[in-house]
Amino acid sequence: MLSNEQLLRYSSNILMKEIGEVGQQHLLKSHVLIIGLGGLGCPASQYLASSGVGQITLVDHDTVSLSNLQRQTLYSSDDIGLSKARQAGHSLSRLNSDIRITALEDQACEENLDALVEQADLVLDCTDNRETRYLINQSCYRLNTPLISAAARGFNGQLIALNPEQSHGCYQCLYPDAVTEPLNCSNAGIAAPVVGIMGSSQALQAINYFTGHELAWGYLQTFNGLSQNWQQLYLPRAASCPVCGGQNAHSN
Amino acid sequence: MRIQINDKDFEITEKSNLSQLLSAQNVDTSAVAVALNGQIIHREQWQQTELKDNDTITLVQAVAGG
Repeated sequence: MLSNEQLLRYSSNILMKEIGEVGQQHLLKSHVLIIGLGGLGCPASQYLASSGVGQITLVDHDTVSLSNLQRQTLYSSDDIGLSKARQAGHSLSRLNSDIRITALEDQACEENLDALVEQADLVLDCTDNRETRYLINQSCYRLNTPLISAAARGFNGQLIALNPEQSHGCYQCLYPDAVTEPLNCSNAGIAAPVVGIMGSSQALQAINYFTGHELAWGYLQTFNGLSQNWQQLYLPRAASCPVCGGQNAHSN
Repeated sequence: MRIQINDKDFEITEKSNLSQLLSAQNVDTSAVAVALNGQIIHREQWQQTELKDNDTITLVQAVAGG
């Protein structure tokens, strides 16, 4: 049962037949793990906290720097040098004290990822590097947990929702070459609203998932911020994939 | 036959497969996903994927920033 305060706080969700009171209860019972609190994680966590996702775990080992403030909207100039996870946690608690937020000042790595993923109903990959992206993908497939992965650089954004129980490919199938990306947001630039759109899209997909709507699982969605054009490309499973192919497959 | 690569038109005279086309166009395929008519084609299938008239190829450069 929702309290009077919750009915008011979430009234804009509840008014929509696509969410309603039942959907809001589902949101409040859900646990999302958000890895990376930069340009993607800031809007994603903000919308999920304000929408009333009951439990949010934030993971980031980094601290706020001056150049982050162009796009990382949870932080202010006073936060420079402070932990992103902790400051994001404070901001989100002020936004909505009705939900539980856990902030971890840790780097997501092989040693801690399984334990983190295991507790969550859904994982958002909001990280800024390929190495961690591969590890998150592996962990989600090992533990059969759905993953919404987004990335951005320059005016380009990418998004893919992965469900280990379905027959599409995984992040490893998408980019099998384990090369490190020569360019990232710090050295190639990023249009702030583009990364904001991608992070907001992750939040939207998470809300859709928690409220029982079907996602476009296995479709890579690309966004070009100059042409404002979205494209959808289906990602089949690679038979040889060491993460989701052959005997590692959860489904056919 | 006419092939479109990332919204640009190319006229190809000889019968060719995806692998041949990518090398003929000097595409750097490291960290690139290649899609044919809206479906990503894995590298091991490039050679056996014969192209036909009006095929649309999309090259997506890996992006990892956030």
